[in-house]
Amino acid sequence: MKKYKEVISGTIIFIFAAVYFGIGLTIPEFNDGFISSDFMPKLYGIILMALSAVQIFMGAKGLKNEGEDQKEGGSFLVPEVVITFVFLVLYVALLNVLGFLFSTILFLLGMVTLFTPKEKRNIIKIVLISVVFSVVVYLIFVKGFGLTLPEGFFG
Amino acid sequence: MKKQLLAGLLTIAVAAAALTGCGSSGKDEKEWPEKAITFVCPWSAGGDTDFNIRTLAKYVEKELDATITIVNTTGGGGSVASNDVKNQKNDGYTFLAFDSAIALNKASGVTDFGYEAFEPVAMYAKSTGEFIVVRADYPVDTVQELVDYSKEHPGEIKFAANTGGTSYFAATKLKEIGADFNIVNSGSSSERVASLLGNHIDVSINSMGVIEQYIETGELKVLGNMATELPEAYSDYSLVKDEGIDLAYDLVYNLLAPKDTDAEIIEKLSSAIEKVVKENADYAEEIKTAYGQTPYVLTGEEMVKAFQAEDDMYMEYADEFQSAQ
Amino acid sequence: MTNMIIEGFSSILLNPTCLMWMAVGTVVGIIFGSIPGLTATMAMAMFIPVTYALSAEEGIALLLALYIGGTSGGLISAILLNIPGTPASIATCLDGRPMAEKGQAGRALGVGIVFSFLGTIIGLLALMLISPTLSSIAIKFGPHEYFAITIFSLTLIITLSSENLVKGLITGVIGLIFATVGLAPIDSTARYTFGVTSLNSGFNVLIVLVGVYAVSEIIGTAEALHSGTQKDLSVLTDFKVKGFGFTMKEFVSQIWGAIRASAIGIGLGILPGIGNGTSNMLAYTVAKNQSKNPEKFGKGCIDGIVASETANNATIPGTIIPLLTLGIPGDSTAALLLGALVMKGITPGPLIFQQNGKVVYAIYAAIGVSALLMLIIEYLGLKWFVKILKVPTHILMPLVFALCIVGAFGTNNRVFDCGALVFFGFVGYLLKKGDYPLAPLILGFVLGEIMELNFRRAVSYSNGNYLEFFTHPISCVFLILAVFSIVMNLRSIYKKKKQQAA
Repeated sequence: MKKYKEVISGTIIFIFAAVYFGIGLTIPEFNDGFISSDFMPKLYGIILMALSAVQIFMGAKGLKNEGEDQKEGGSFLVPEVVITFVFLVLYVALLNVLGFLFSTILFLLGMVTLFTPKEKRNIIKIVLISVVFSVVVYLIFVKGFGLTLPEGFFG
Repeated sequence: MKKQLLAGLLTIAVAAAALTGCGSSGKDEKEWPEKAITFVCPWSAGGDTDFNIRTLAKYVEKELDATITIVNTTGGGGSVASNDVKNQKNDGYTFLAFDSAIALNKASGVTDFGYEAFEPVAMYAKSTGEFIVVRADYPVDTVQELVDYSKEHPGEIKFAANTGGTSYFAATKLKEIGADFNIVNSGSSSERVASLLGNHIDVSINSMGVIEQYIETGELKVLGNMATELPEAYSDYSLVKDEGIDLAYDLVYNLLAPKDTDAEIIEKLSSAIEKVVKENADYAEEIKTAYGQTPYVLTGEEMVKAFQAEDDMYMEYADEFQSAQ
Repeated sequence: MTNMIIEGFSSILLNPTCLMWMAVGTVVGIIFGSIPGLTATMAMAMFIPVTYALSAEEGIALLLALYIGGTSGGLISAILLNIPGTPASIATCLDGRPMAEKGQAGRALGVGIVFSFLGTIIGLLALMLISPTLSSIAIKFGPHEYFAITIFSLTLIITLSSENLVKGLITGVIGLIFATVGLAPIDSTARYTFGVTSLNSGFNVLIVLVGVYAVSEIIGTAEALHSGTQKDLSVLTDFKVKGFGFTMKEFVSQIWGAIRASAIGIGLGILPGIGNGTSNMLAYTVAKNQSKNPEKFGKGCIDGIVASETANNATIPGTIIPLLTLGIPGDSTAALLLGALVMKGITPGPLIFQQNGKVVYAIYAAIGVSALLMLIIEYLGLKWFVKILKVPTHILMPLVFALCIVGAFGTNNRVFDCGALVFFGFVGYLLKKGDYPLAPLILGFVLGEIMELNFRRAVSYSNGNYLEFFTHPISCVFLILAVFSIVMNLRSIYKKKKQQAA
């Protein structure tokens, strides 16, 4: 899997570029003789497709040289990463439902627990940090600076 | 152990305090306003619409004993903001602080709606007019001369106009009487002035506030004022319509609420605005010093009629605007 | 005239209320600048109502303090967290983070702070002495010239991606692509919005920036946890920082670089539309190109920080030049200043000296004082900033993200932006995994719209005559420079490859 990394990334980008270009074709053109809003997107799409093709080509060439310097960190979407993503998405999704204060507390509880190595986990400390931090931030920014933060059913 | 217990209690106390703070923001419309109100301005800070709404808000805040925050949401000729507010909750805490461009946006197809998609609150100020301005050494002195000059140099004279803006309307009207400009986009009011000075465009439409100093230094000159009547402050500049050209419109600043906002809230806000505009001497002084404006306000039935009239005037040109693009 | 100067200066320097407000402004500015997602502009917008009650001089001084503090504050998170606090500090990450990893966070901060101060002062001198000249130059820039200068700036992507040219170009184009989402310039055609009205104004540069950098950092932390490779910076860092962390000799050796970076900062500042988001990267790449040891850039050398921080602070007086002399704000932050001035009955423009000379001198004094306040406050805070690294990463990162959400939401009061933040975090993560550089993406994104807008305008102004890009002298110069820069960079990359193969 690792060694196909270059080819895979190139391919993903190629597909992205092709889709982008394709959608670009639907942008209306105006006939005033000047450049319309479809020009740049199409141009970018073509350039990106070309570049990613080069990337795929170079990646494929690299496959031939077996065992060339493989960069460390080839792990992709390990459980921690997936969970982190889920947390991030849930956090944002809950912002309007529970409001900033509670969503943040829940998020911090989850995230810090996940990140803290098992030996160091101290539930009370984590709860304390999550609640105090969220409340302090809320107070400083909403009451202190007058910024608006999402308010759910509970505020 | 004791320390942790204390910390825990403290946390609960703080959380409780925050919660009670939350709970008090009630949703009782009869006591409106309960929390900060937001006015969304579709143009960037520093411009005439922005100035007008900020000044108005400053005084209305005191009338209503409320906090009003101005937010500038620019883009799309004003349509980003108007679309945004149109979809907001109609709880009386978000309003659109726009101007005549709302009708122009609809006419040029930038939006498919005009004032009717909102609950109008007030037309709270009127501009002293938009002026047609050129460099001082430009070989024309009246609008008619400009039109003729463009016929002699078809497509060469660069006239700055923004899609969905009053400048586009002006350009279209002049085209009707035979002008042959190269209509180009040159950005916001101050960007147009810079372009004009730098010789990148030849004609621009601006309100007096931005160009006043340049007229004094002799770098720019005004060909005419496109308002429907001579403003007190700038009566030295002739009206374009007095040259016999059918080009006259008023730039009016308005405030709108999302559709179906409670009528009582609208009433309360529009009365507060009326009071400020008609009675507040400080307000009158401020708008006069900055933009030479005199107080002007329309609410209720009269205001709706005015909105409709504006809408009708620009919609006449809808086909023209949209095909020209 | 001397009267005006004295009155103007004393309205700031001899006014304790004013000084107090400026101190508050600087502190708040630094806080906002250092939190990714919150900006000086936001802080200024919040304080505008406060200025109503103050005199014109006091009000503007407060806003300037916020601005200067805010721009400088970005370096704190850039160095400590590898997350630029504002787009003005992106290039600071490039050398700031490596320095922090070597345990030299205090030193990096010290350099950033001193040179932020220096940049502001040099910019101020330009403002005071040569603004008329500079603004007459600014006027000469029309769409052709703007287009040429943005093309030139884009070629610098090549310099930023000397590790892998193809990948750098790819991310650069991806940045350009993301910039096309929204209503198009000039005709406001909806592009790539899929009917979602929230996308009409496109993505906000801060959201892209914070998402791509911050969120990917957090996910990186998650990964490092998995593989147990978490670096414990609290062990490495030199918490006992002496003075500013660097010597007089080093300071003197950097002065030329600082002057050069200031020139770039001021130059870009006077051009409305291009601001300190670009100047820091431009200054960095120029410094790298002209350096005798370009390889040390990106590995933790102070030259990079000097370039970036001097430039972004010099841009501030730069944007004020067209604001005061022409009444044209250089960017949205300057627009706020303009709004505040107009509210006080002051209309900037060619007659500002005659009509409001006192305010102009007050502004000069305010900039100088703000710079000094920033220097002092950040110096005092230096040891404390570094202590942030003592907080274990597994606690720090989630807290930082929560703050990023505050910032994301604060840009436009929409949860949509928070969602976009996570989206760009995902994009940033993918790019990092594939070893694609992030900086070109931001550069492409920032410059994309300006470039397209000016390209289309230029073509319409010249009625379709493309030759005009070369007949306009300034435009021609920059286009040639762009070609030159591409050629030189390709040559050095080719040379390097040959050396490696040998």
